[in-house]
Amino acid sequence: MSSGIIAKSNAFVIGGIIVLGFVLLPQVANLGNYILSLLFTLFIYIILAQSWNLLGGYAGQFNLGLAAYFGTGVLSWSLLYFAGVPPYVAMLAGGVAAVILACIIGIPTLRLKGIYFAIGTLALAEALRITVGNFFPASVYVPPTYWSNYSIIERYYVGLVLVILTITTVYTMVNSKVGLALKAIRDDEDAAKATGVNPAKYKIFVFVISSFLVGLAGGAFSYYRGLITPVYQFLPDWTFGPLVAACIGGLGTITGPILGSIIFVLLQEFFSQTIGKAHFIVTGIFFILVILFLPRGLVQSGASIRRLLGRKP
Amino acid sequence: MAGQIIAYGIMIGVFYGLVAIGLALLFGVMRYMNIAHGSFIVIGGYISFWLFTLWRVDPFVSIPVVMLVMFLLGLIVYRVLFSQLGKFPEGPRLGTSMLITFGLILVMDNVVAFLWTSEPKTITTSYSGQVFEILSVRLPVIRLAVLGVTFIVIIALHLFLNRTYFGKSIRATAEDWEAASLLGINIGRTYLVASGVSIALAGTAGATIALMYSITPYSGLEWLLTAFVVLVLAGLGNIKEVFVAGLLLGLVEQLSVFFIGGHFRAVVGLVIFVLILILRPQGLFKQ
Repeated sequence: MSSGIIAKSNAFVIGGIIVLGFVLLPQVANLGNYILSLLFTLFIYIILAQSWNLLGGYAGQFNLGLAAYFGTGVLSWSLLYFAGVPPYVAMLAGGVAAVILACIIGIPTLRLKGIYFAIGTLALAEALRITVGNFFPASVYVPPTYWSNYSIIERYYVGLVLVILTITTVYTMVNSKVGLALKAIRDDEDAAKATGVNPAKYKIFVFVISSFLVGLAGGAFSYYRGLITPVYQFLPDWTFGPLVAACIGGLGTITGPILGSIIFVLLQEFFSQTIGKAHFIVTGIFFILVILFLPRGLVQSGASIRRLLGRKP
Repeated sequence: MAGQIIAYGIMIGVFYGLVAIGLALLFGVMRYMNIAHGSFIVIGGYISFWLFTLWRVDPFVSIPVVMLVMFLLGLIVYRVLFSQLGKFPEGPRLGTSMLITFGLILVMDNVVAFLWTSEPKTITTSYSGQVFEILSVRLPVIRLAVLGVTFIVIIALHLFLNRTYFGKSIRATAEDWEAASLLGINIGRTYLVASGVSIALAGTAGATIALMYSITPYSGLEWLLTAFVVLVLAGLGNIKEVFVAGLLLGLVEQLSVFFIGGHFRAVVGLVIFVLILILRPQGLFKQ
């Protein structure tokens, strides 16, 4: 027990040092636009993968419609900003819009179980993508004032704040009564119900929180991008990337989606500079290998690899 | 006008059954969900496209070749991937099958994009634009021919499942794999054949899609969703009901095109799909 507390306080200290490092990084070193953009992309992926993990990893509900909530955040931000709303307010509105969407189309689908939930969310996200494509076929342009005082460092900090917000939210939730209820639902929904957990209530709660975070990330992404084509942010790539990142790292852990996102973004960056979209081929093969041979993900496999080697963890 | 809607509804609906039948067979037999079904469809389309552009093979003549190649691909996919799923416990097996075939989408779609670029490809034959007109109902020759191909596939599949040893063992395994195994059926080999047949059927659908629509490396998802809608209408695990469900979807879609317009054709199908999922998850045909 005491070693658990020590491990926990160690984790807090390490987490604090990492956060401090990221806060100070642009101040002490001149990173340049390229590195800052790469880190911003990483932040977005961590937020998406962590939010996906909250419902997919901890509660066992595979939401294949994440892109719909991200796209809603993106679209709301650019429409509001265009109408003269300040960028941070528009970002918050993106989160709220995603929550509204979650209430309208997400909550009914939460009645579906297992594989039905997965394909139902995918179908609705695609229906929404096609509808958005019909209404906003072209790019949305931001006013020229957007570019006149563009600062990548500001975007970097926005991303960092959202990542910290996401990780602390997920951490607090899974270490509370909610986390226990989610794990009970994941392991056996009927048994959870029998012991007095209301699965619907918890699933909806988590779904709303995760949509809000994803919507915020969407807002931040269009604040970073400026020029966007709304329908691209509704593409299933925005669901599949975070899903792959979360699974590679390890579902149902805090560090898993972070590590997975780092691997995913690095693979994407490394191969996009050489052979276009081919990074998906490498990522896909890597993903299949992890699922088949280390199904609990990389961060949880240390013990099982050691056990395979016959050593005590 | 009504005649036109019904004629198109039937031609498209039966074709939707062809899109879904491979997925239904694989799920019915193995209880694996092959998310990459649409990507296999697309690969079938590209093989047909290739045979047509390189050697001028008529796309209807080349269907058996496409089926054979895709059958072999299905055997490889089973040996390399699906057979690995056996070591997972029963519970997470279905989810794991979805995840690995999802990884397969990433790999296959981008290999296809690498081989054939992302330009949409269509097979245009000398008879592509021809139309029959009966009682002022216009029937495109290609759609009629696809209807014919689908009927041949239905009959062949029926004979295969009911008259051959492998077909019977596939049905027995779908019903109860433990009992089938006790009766001396080699489950591994049955799964292998079922996987080959499923992918071959996907390839057939793909060859007809390249004729009627166009194919791009990333259009697999669209056809996967069509197959899902049909599967859920038919009830997951049912094989015989697939073509009836496809017919239903085709008719409803054509009606929606008439009343709402073509832009929202896919949206209508998907919304119906989610409603069915919520209201009648067991499908339309089960009591």
